[in-house]
Amino acid sequence: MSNYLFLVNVGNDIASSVHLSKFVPNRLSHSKPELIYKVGVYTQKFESVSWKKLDEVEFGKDNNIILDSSNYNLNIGQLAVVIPVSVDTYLEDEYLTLIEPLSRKIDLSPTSERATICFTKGDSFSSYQGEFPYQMSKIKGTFLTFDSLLKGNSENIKTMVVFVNIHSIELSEKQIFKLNMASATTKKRISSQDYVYNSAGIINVENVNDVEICFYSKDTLGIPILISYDESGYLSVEHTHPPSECFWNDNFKGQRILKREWLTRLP
Amino acid sequence: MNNLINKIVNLKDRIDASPFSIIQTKFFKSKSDVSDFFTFRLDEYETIFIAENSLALLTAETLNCHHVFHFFDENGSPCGIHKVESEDFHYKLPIDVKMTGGNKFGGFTHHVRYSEELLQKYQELLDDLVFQHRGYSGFRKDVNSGYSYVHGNFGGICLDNKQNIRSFARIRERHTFSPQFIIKPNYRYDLIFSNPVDKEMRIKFILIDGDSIQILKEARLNAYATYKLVLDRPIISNCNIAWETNLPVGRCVIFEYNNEFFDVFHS
Repeated sequence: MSNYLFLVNVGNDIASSVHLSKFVPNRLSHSKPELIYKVGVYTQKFESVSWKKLDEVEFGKDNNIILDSSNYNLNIGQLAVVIPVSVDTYLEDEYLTLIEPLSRKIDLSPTSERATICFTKGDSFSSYQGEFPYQMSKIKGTFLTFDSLLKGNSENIKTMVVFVNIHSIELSEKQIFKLNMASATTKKRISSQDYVYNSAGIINVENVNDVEICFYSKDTLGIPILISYDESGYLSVEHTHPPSECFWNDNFKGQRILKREWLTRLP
Repeated sequence: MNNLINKIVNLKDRIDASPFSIIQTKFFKSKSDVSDFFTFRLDEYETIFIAENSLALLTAETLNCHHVFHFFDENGSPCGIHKVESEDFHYKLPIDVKMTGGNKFGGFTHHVRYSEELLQKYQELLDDLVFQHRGYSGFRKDVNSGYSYVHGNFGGICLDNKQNIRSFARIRERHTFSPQFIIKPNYRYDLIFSNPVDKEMRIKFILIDGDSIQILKEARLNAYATYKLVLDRPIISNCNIAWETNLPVGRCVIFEYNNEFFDVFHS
């Protein structure tokens, strides 16, 4: 399954970068070690349904490509989607349907075709191995996650949930969707934030040590990134597992039941 | 004849790419929930673990869960069992040396138990589902700071009828894993590997600097052992690292340091 990568401007002087290498992420040791490709970088403005090319980068003589959000003048919540493609692909300046990323898999080895997605604030840094699966970009879906990573934070730490959604299918208009935060216990909504396709919805979360929180959208799927930071140099970034990971077998059936139980009770 | 040979080769490739026992996962239902193999370090760090109350998450109801944690020292020997009850959707476990038999570094698993009454009540929802635990480990050095989190990577560890640890993870053909990150100048790294298999595992570490490839080290890990590779700043920078193991999914947890800042992520 091939994947998109992404840069995002989350505000608060936090920059993001994507680090990719030409080495195949996971392979049988006797398989070819390298895959030569290039990346296209595309963005879609909030009010637009068209993808515009921002950049096109090849490895050249280097083993690695590093892309930085600060080079692309993104607005807060705006995404730049990084698309691995073969070197002979001609990248148009504009697309209505986002092109399919190249698979970096070269044998049957289980591979998560990820990149280091790194966030920096001053000298502080935090990263995770991230991706946005192409298959997810073709589905509308729904979204549910929990506040697992907000546990244990002291009061001076600020947290934001960054909800990244990429929809590669052609759009005729930009609908407004809702990203919601609710009490997991009472199921009452605490706040909500508007977002559109091909952007990042951002919710700033107050200190929640005493209450269990969930985040959800009944409108689209997406990937949640939890970013915690303070002014003394603490920065932590991680994504939460999708509900399907709660199940060893038949994980999509488990996810369907879990989402149904929650989303039918949440406002 | 050629067709038969192709089928045999194809079958071998599929087996080599399968991280878990094919017989145990495809033809039998696991008798217990299944856990990733997590890392604790209490040397200069605090470790907390965010444990999921799986049935509560499935049903969207708070309900009583018996969490069970099995700890292993760095050589893979069992060194402690900790049990606790909680109704929360997520339970925060601060790990201390009393739970780990005085050990400051090693691995652990997480399992859950529910009363017969609850299992009967939710029998229809549960159906044939088996829970999987991929929880989140948080690390910090300073009590006034927040935690840096990493989620579970890999494991396939269950408990048999006598509550002994069993692993579905299997040793296969040699695989090379190349994480998509760059060893930065003036940074220091700890790469922590856990062996979730009930057999010895060998790792060969490979440093890639431009066109040059150097074998850094080879290590052997007992069953359920945890191993730390230290990459110090005088040795290397602006390189890539890869490792060869007999696991189809050979991930590790990476601690990245720069001056007083550190970050944790999985490969």
